[in-house]
Amino acid sequence: MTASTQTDIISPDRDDSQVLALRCRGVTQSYFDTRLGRQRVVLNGIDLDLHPGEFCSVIGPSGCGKSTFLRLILGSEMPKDGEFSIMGRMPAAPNRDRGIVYQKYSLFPHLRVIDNVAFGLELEQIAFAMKWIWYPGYLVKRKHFVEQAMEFLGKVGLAEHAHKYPHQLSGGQQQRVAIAQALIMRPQILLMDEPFGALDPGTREEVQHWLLELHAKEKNTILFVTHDLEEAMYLSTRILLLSQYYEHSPEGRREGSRIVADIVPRPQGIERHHWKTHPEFSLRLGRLLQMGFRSTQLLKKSEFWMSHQHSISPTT
Amino acid sequence: MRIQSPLSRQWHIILGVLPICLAIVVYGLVSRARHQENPKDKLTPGLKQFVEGWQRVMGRTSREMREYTVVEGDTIQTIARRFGQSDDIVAEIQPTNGKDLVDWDDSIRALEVGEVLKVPVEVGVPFLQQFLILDTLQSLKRLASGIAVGAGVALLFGLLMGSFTEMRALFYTSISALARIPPLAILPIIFLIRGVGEDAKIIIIALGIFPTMAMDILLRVQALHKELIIKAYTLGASTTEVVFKVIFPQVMPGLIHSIRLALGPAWVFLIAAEAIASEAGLGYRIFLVQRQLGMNIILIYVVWIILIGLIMDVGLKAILLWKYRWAEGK
Repeated sequence: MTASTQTDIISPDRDDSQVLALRCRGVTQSYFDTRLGRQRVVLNGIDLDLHPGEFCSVIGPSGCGKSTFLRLILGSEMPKDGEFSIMGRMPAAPNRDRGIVYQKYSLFPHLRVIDNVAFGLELEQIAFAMKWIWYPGYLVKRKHFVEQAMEFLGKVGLAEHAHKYPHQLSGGQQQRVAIAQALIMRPQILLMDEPFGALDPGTREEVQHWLLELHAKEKNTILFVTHDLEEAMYLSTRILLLSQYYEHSPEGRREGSRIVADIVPRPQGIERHHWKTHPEFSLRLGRLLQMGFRSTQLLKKSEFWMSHQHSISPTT
Repeated sequence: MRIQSPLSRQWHIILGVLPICLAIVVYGLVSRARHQENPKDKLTPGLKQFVEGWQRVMGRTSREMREYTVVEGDTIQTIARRFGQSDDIVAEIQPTNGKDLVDWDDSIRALEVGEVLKVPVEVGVPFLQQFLILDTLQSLKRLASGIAVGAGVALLFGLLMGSFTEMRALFYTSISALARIPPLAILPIIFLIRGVGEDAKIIIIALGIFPTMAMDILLRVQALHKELIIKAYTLGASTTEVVFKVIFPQVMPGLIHSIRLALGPAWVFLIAAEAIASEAGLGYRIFLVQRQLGMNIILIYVVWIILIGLIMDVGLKAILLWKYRWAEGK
């Protein structure tokens, strides 16, 4: 691959940055490693353009910094270097621009399902402490946003569980509520950190299917971190591979993950819902698992040590 | 017996009650043996003495003076009968006009119509003035105020320190220093500053339980999943709203657990403060009757305190199950 093709894929369409759901330039993060006694680079100059409506998965070997990348976008951590913007705006601390669904602990255990979903709406519409002084508009407003939340719960198929507490739901149901809770606020981008990692295979497939349908309807921008290549291939419209395994270079060991591959998993012409049962799916998946990414899919092939045993079969 | 093998409910109850029954039987045997040796033994009161003690603490009757205006035809006897007394109360009837009723030769003077006499009557003590009830109410009032103040302040500091690192830096050292002071050691200081009134007792209880509770709540706030706090921010919450709508409600069941644990120390401080200076209260009474070797009354009070403690514990548990079902996972 030539350098020109590389820039094609990740090139910044500079006039377009206002409508990019996410635009990263040289995002770098490092932490102080007490064992090494110095800063250790985790992410090394991530460039990424994400268009609205994309369902983008991030995969990579353990420790490659997938979750760190997500935390940076979320704003719960600040990058050491580089910058990013969401719909053209520079974000700071976590706010309503970005929704988040974690693997666990996404729901407020002290609130019923319906109140969990309505939480954001209540914050938006009811001034703080107004609930306690019983001002007359409260009940009217509450009725309004509870209706809205019920509608959303209906969409995730959990309307009959509205008055249960989260711990009374199964893992898959909890994750669906968590997604509804985040989506009801209509975030610019929905971040998901291994959301289905704790689910058993059957439930997992069910929720994946449901998420696909939801994405087809709502066209949200989703950044989805997973360690499961099959899941990424099935769900996403785009897969990013992060890796920290560099080819040994004469100037010494290089550090920090970069995006080494940026692929579109599903060929044109195959319906999203038939994709997983399509013969091409298992063919591509098997090829990726056994042989790694084809050199044509790699962005920085020369730098990376793609034959490393962990480089593309991310297990944890 | 296997490690942590399941046990049926009946056995739970039987085994739980067994040690108590055993203790009562042993006490009974010891008490009987001592009474055979010395029928007036006071250190191990028997059933009869407990009944006497109970009647004393429940204070069945007392004497009181009532005013009575003499009408036509009254004699000392009719007046005595009117109040349900025998004739010999004549010596206790007091005239209010300064003329003695009984002369030097034991003769009784004639009564004047319209004159006011003070007549002693036996009356049932008003319910609230009975020893046990009075003491209990006084003590509970102090205990409840002390715990309310202590827990309130602890909640405030715990929430602040758990939520904001600046607040933690500001208060942590002082509160852990405060936690090292045995509260009874500064009891004299409080008495000197605040006098020996009610507020001194409330302060000693509050001060005694506040530092450990504040630390407990701090730990509970820190143990909350960070994900939930970030999640609340992404749903548009302000920092105040995160504290009051996410952290506070999740710490509430912890606060109740904390109060359950603080009840023990709170009782210690209450009894100690009452023993030193008060006019009523469970601790006051126990230390008062100790001087008269009133073991029967002391034991009645101790059993009573156990009962109150158990009721409080069960009550707090019930609140947890009723209001904070989600925290108990049921």
